[in-house]
Amino acid sequence: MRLALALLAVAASPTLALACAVCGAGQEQDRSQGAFLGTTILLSLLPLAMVGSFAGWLRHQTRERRRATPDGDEPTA
Amino acid sequence: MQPGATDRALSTLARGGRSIENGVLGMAIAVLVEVMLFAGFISAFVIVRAGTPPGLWPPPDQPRLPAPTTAFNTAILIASGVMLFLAHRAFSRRGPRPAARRMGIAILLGGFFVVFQGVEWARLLAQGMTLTSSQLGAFFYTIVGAHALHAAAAIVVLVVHWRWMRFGRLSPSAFGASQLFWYFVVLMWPVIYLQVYL
Repeated sequence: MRLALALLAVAASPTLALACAVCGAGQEQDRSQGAFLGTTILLSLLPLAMVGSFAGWLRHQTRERRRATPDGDEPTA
Repeated sequence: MQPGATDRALSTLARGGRSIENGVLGMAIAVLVEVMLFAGFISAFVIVRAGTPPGLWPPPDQPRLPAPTTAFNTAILIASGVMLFLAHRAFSRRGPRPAARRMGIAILLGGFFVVFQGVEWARLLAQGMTLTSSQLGAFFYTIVGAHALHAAAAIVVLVVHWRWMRFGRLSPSAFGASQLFWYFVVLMWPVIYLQVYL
């Protein structure tokens, strides 16, 4: 039981062991890569999401207008 | 193949039966462009912050950004957006007079936000944070300054439309466009606050 608890504690709390002064140097690079990846995804998907949302809203508006005019005629401006 | 609703919407627009008012459509396109501008600013900020060695962001020699007081100011700006929405509802249900009162409150709250930001800027400048003092300063004044510029421009538009509303000359299209602009200013700010201040 104690062994199982000890193994669980070790498995649940892993920490990075840095053996020398320069071992942490790569961490900034990892964070930078993560930031580049995240912002690339954001800037790629954001225009698509916005245009898609706008098209969806336009579609919703058109349906509402059709529902408001039961004979199906397009209302004139 | 049956034409989809989006196709019908586009053909409705082409035939002149409007699914969307011209003013709102123009403002929606402008807002899409502005959202991308701020997304670019914030992305650059996030990348620069991530490239800083641990413990050096925010820069130790720079003043801390006033996050608690700006949180209060954020609440004021959101209240302004809510008030403008209530003005919209009053405009469509009860007419211009009750709507003008709510719109006036929204403008006052928005004006308070811009003035409060100005006071915070003056304080930060006095403490030594300028556009060239650090990367944080450069990004802070660029991003927050661009937002403040949009907020000030939107308030001018809202004031003009408020006057038109009082005299019964405000069209739903113009009101929709100014609302959209202000909602953009209101909704963009919490994103900026979370990324830059916290």
